[in-house]
Amino acid sequence: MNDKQLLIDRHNCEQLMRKVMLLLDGQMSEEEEKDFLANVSICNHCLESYQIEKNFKDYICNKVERKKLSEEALLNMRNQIKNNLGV
Amino acid sequence: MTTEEITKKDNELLFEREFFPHADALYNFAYHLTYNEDDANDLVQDTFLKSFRFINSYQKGTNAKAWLFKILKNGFINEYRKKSRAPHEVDYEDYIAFQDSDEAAGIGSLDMRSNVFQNMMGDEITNAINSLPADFRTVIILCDIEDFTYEEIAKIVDIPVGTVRSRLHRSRNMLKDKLRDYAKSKGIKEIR
Repeated sequence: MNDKQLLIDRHNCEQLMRKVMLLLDGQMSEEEEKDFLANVSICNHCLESYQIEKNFKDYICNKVERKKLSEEALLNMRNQIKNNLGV
Repeated sequence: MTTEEITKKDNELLFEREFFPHADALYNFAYHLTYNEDDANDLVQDTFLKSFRFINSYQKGTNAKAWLFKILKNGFINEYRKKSRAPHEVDYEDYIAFQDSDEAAGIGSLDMRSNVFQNMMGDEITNAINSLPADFRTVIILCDIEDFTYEEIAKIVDIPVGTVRSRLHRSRNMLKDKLRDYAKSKGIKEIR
């Protein structure tokens, strides 16, 4: 039995998709990541679900507005800390 | 220079090198918790003042960002949220305690096609995140915007790593539902 057939035989969509966010959130080891991607590549449903989750994560990362502290506010905070430090 | 002067100088350097570089990230987190610029400013200022007060409990060169985020999150929970909780706001802690289990961390809805949300503007996604209960949006901000690991999030929020994972899963599904509803209201069709 070749490696690909073994992967197909052991493939479980639900179990695999439970792990998809672990990969996207950078919580997998290199080995686990390799194993996950090999498993995903043999199933169109998993591949599509993985791509959807990846797109969703990318959208959140890239599109959410990042607020910045005004320079004036930061200067005030710096001065307040300096006063507390007594410098 | 006296010992006291050296300590003051060291602490000033510590603030400049390790604490102040995270001011924008802290402000962004504070804003997403309070939705108000003045309150966010106050929370960040309070965080820096507390970090000064507790400076002896911080080890130089360790994870300053996670340490500061934990102070800010505690400040929000202990002071700000108690003061400002709207009368209609539901206490989600009981709900979370009930829901946070491995069993609850099911696969959820994965049927959202990328085209449903690819045309949405940042404002729409920001508003959708801001409409989630604080405990749910907190994990999304910490993971997806600030790139903290599950372990760091667990320490900041004071919950087990497994709960971080299930809460993130649930938060993302809630967010998808909100974005899907929004897309439908704008006439954007989902591919099935």
